[in-house]
Amino acid sequence: MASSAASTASSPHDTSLPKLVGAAVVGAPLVAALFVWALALPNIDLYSLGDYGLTTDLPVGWYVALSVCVVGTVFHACVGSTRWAWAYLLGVVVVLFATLPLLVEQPHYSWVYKHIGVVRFLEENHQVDPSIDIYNRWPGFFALSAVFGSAGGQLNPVKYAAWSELLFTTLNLLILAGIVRAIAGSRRIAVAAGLLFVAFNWVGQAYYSPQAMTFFGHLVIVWLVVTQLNRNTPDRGGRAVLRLASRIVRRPQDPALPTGHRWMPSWVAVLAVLLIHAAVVASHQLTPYLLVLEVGALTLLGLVRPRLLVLGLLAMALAYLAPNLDFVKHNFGLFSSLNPFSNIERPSRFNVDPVAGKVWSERAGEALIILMLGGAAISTLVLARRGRGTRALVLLVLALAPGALLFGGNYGGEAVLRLVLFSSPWCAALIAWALMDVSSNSWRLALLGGGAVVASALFVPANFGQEELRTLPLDEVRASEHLYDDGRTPAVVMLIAPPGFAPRYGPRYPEFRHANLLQDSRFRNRPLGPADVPAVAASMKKYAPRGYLVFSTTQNTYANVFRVTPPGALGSLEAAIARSPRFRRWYRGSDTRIYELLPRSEVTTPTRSAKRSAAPVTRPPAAPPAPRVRPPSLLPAPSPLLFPPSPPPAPPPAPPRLRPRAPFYDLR
Amino acid sequence: MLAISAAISTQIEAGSPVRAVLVLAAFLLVPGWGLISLLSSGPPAAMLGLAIALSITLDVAGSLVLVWTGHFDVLAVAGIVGAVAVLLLLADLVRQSQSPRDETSAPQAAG
Repeated sequence: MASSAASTASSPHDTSLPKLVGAAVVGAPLVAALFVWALALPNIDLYSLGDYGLTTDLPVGWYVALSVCVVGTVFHACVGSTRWAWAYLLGVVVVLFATLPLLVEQPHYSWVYKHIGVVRFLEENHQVDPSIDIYNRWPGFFALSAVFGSAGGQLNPVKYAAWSELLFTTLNLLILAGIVRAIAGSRRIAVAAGLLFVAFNWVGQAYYSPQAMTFFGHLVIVWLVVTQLNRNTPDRGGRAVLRLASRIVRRPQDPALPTGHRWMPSWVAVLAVLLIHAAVVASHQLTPYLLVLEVGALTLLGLVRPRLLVLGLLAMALAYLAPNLDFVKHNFGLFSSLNPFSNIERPSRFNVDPVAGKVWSERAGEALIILMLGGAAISTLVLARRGRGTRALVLLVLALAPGALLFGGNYGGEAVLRLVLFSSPWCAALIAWALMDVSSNSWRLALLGGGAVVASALFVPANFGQEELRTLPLDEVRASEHLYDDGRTPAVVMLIAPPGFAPRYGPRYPEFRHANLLQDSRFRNRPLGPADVPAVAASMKKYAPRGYLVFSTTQNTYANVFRVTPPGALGSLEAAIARSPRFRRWYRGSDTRIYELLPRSEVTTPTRSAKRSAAPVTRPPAAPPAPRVRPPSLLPAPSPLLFPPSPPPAPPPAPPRLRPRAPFYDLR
Repeated sequence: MLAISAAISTQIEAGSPVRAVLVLAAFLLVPGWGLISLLSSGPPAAMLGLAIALSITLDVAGSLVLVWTGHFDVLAVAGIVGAVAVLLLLADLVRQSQSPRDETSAPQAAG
């Protein structure tokens, strides 16, 4: 007869096999979803998108994969295993943010290339030049990227920048989970908050940029503050708020704040906060002040200690701003307006009349903002009705604090984007908590599932709805590389209609000035042709005696989509430019044509036969290009990267470098 | 191991994805983990997040020194930071190995 010991002392195989089978069953949908997603990728053509961007051109398989991952996250967050919930959530992140990098190597968003240009400038020159632009004055992120590129073997950031969204979103989820778990006390609520955070965060600020890095640093600081420096109960200010909340919802609030997640001495947490804040201060202009607002609000309500911490954060930010204050005031202004309603608007460069697809994309983003803010407000009341107002107050304060930004300025028209970015994690946490804080599994599934599906459905058009404007053809990047490598200076790079092309991409970008033709209203909303050539030349001459006028596919698309010019206007203009003796075709590729505006002394009248003959793809300049003296490198020589390396020219004495005025600047 | 791998990776062909991944992992983990090792143990996810944040902070600090002074000696700075981090980690390992055993730990299973 088998002894009880034998029956209980089962071999490892007997207990692990059911577990393996169970894991296979639970994980199969995730694996299948990612497999379907991978199969769908070759069916996506980023270069032939319609008016609705990627939204209508994504294959059904892509949507199926996303849906399975979202539903899987919801299911496991509500009733299953939180580990599998995280696995499915990572599947959501992969589907959303690994699709584009796997399709094209070059990163999307034309504005990422100016960040790459700064990094390449530092890699080449090994030193910042604060007179160039604001990036050289807040160089933390760019210096780190330059060092990373050097350590990685002269990596051009264009090779890895496309993966930034995947990396930073994953890092942000890691920290957000810790914060939400500490406050709400539940792993399930933490993963649900992560899912909603991903869906609400349509503003696309996790791309290769100082903001992405400092946003992560900001989350870590908030995590340290609310888990290691929080008080057991709020002090007088916080208790007053809670008494008011109790009267409104007619329910007393539990005054206790969670303190069970402390694992380091307070002084260590303060030191860590200050250290990380120092890196944030040196990397981004805005994030330090948002941190001051958030930590300051928590301190005012007596939710965190020590009180002096917020003064330390503010002092560091102001101390760094002080030597740069004149530059900021002269080029951008410190405060644009105290009117929050005007600051929340996103002024367009043009009076645009976009096609229906762009309107739909914009409305989807607005709907997400309303859903996020409205949902957070309702969730706060719901949580207060359940007596959880004290802990919810922490999240509410964090969500509201960035709103103070609207009383200072519009941050180049991007105040609302930053507001969404910095509020989204806390709004997501409040909503997830309220949705999950029900006793019935069915209700929990229905509420969280409904919210997640709606938010995810809106995310796709909001985030991907303008992809035909954001994914640059490889030829435009190559053309930019050639321009900044071999273009003669001093010169202006005149774009037609940004976003488009890859401006300021090369390490010589400070030697060029930059302008946009259609910013001049004389060229908008009417046909263009030979009569406009002198005016185009005159516009360029205002900046420099020589210039490069760039026509490209992405810019044409922008002008058509937003109806800045009538159909065919840019084509007519380009044809006239090509025939003009004032211009010489400098580059011709599959998606880009660059015309060089010649100084008066170099203008000739070519014969008809000479005009008809095809120009070379790249025309060597008549005079030697401005030389770049590459300092000796201690690292191995780079292998060919995205573009074939050009041989270094014989180094004549370097001419003095032009210090352009601060270029047309987009504070991203 | 990660610091050593990253150091070895500098011998890999420049531009190789393997080298880039190893260097990225080292940048994100080695400096901060050395500092974290001075603290008592906390939740693994929290320690990982804090290690990454502190690594980025130290990386940014070192990078700023290079670009503000113009002495762009990446290998030297990376070597110093990495060596300090490795020493801290080794010290932590030694400290853990010398700490008394936990009396409540379960006896090891028979081999």
